[in-house]
Amino acid sequence: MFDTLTQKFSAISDRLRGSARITEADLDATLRDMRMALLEADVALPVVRKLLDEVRERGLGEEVAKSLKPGQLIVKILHDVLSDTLGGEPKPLDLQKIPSVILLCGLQGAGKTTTAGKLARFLTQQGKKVALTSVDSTRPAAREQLEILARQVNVPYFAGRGKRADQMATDALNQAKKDGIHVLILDTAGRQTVDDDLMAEINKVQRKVQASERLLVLDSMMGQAALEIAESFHENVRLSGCILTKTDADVRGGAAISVAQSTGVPLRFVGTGEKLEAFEFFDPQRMAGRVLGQGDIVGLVEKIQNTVDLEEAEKLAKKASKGHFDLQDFSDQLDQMQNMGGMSEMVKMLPGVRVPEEALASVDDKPIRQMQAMISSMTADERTKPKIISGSRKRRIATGSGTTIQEVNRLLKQFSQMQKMMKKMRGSKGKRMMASLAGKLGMPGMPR
Amino acid sequence: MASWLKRLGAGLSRSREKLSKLIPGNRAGEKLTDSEWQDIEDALIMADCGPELSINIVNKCKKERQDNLHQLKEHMLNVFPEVKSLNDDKKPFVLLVVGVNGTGKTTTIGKLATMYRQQGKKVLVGAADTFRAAAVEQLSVWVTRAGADIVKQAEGSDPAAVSFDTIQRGISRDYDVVIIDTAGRVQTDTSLMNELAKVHRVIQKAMPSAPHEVWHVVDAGTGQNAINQVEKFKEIAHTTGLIVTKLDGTAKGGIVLQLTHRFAIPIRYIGVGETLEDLLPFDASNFVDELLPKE
Repeated sequence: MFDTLTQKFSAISDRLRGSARITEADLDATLRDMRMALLEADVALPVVRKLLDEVRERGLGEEVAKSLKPGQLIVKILHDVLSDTLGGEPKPLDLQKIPSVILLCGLQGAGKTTTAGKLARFLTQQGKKVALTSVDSTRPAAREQLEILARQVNVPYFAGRGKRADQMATDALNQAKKDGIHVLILDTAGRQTVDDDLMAEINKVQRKVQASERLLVLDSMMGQAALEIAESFHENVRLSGCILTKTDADVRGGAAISVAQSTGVPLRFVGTGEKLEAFEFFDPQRMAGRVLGQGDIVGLVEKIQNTVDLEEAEKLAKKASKGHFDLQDFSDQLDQMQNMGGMSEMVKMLPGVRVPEEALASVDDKPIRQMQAMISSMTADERTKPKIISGSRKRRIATGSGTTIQEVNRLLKQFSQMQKMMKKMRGSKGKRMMASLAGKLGMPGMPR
Repeated sequence: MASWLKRLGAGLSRSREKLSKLIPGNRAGEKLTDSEWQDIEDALIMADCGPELSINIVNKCKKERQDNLHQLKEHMLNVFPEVKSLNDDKKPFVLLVVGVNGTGKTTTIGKLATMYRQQGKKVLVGAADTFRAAAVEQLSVWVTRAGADIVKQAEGSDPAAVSFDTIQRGISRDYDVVIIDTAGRVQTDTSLMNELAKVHRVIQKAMPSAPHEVWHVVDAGTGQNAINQVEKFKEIAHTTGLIVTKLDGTAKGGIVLQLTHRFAIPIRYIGVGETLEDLLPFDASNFVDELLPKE
């Protein structure tokens, strides 16, 4: 399923080509597929609509760099919209007050209790004095579970006395004050659904303990319902953040997008496995990429936008279409490619292709460096008129660049093939030049 | 019979409310407009039926252009496979329960134990979730409430060994039903999936015809990831049936259609509430009836 999604996005970015600006037609053709892809990734439908409206607004009329296809740029815009939705830098927890209370809430089975243990371990490592308490008297053995987790991460467990959740919480908070605890992590009862009883109970607890952080613990595998859940918790306890659990299950993480878009609260942490140390800061960029489920086409687009001088590229395209593309231009192209990180970097970023490590190692930038060395050893005349390169000139170039005559011959042959190809492209304005150049250049370094 | 139908209806009321807002009730025979069909498609997607299946169902309805609600129901029902009868005539009947974390395996086993006890059967439960803190205690509470017996070992002990012991005792002490609870595991965790494969093998060693049924518990709120779950668990644990829990939640149960559409695995029970009686045998027709607004 994930592979098809990847292919879908590659297909979207490949299909449209040719226009200088993103048109209504480009958008219409792309957004329908994007809608499907986002829905497959479990982004809630109302959120999908808002996101795509935003893409349309930002995308329409946007100038398409010569070396890009409109589809690629639209995918990039979607990625930007997703990143913006998920927020920038992770926001640190507000733990100024001593003791501060972190209230964890969420549905049954989301992983609240395990998360409480993980968070306790995380904060202890940051030098905080942490204690755990549970006011979950509904689920059998819920409190025992947290007590065991507390022992495992070496923090005290406070069994708050009292009958009602708010009484238990108050009692635990008093003990935290007495014991000089910095952070009290409070685990609440879950329900199968967001019902009024649950909300009333959590509300009461919150009024008593005034938690500075109210975090929703959400199963990242959640489907469309994530939206409604996040909204109702937010309405009732004014969430300050969200923790996504079970992200190791190969989830696309659409739930994260739904929560972030609808409530605007930052995502703080992700649970990444069974073990107590499987707990990380949330990384918006990585999650956006995950939802899109594609190779780093976005990175590729950004690199091309940043490194390729547009005017320069246009000049080159004109030259090429007239058949005036010479070795100097070729050398400039090679430079530009090296600026982007060389062949191996480019191959890594190709969407829809998962290149195994061994293959990557065999993608070699050496031939490109050699070619550059050979061209550098040529005179200006030789670069513009390669035809004048005779046997003795070849020998000089080979010596100058530390290569052999055979290698100089190969370069000249490849170059003349490239020139022929470019003449053929005359009229199509050299639009695909970058791509074909990359293809040509890839050949000598690739395993045969 | 009537009482559980009522409970099913109550459990699914959230889903139905949503759909009835979209699908005009008493309009048998009348054609729906394109925008109404679009609304229905959206409603199915929001119920977690998945974009592909939702579009598929709606397109089929639109093509025929006869009736509205009847048709929709027909096409939704077509998604369900024919129900195979349960492989529960062996003694003891060995049932293995699997699933990812937090779907409600332990609670479901408590409910199943209660149900079998009410049928007058002698029930033994094996606590093979030896990983999660206090999982055994949680199961003990349920099993005691149900009036069944439990086999348990220390936390961290080998789940395969617990399963083996449970079945041996089940055979020697003449139990009718043996239920094995396993730890939750995400389907991508290779080492834990291997552990589950081992549990399955060891069960076969203890009783060659067992496990007679392997039920995979799926949280109704799960999105498209449920498809990966079912696929992977089927491969490793040879799933024979599904139990969909928490259907009374915000979840709308569309995932039920998705799963049956893709895998020929019957849904055996659905959980529509937190009490012991809220585990209901699954019936496709009733389910679709209750999901759709009343005509």
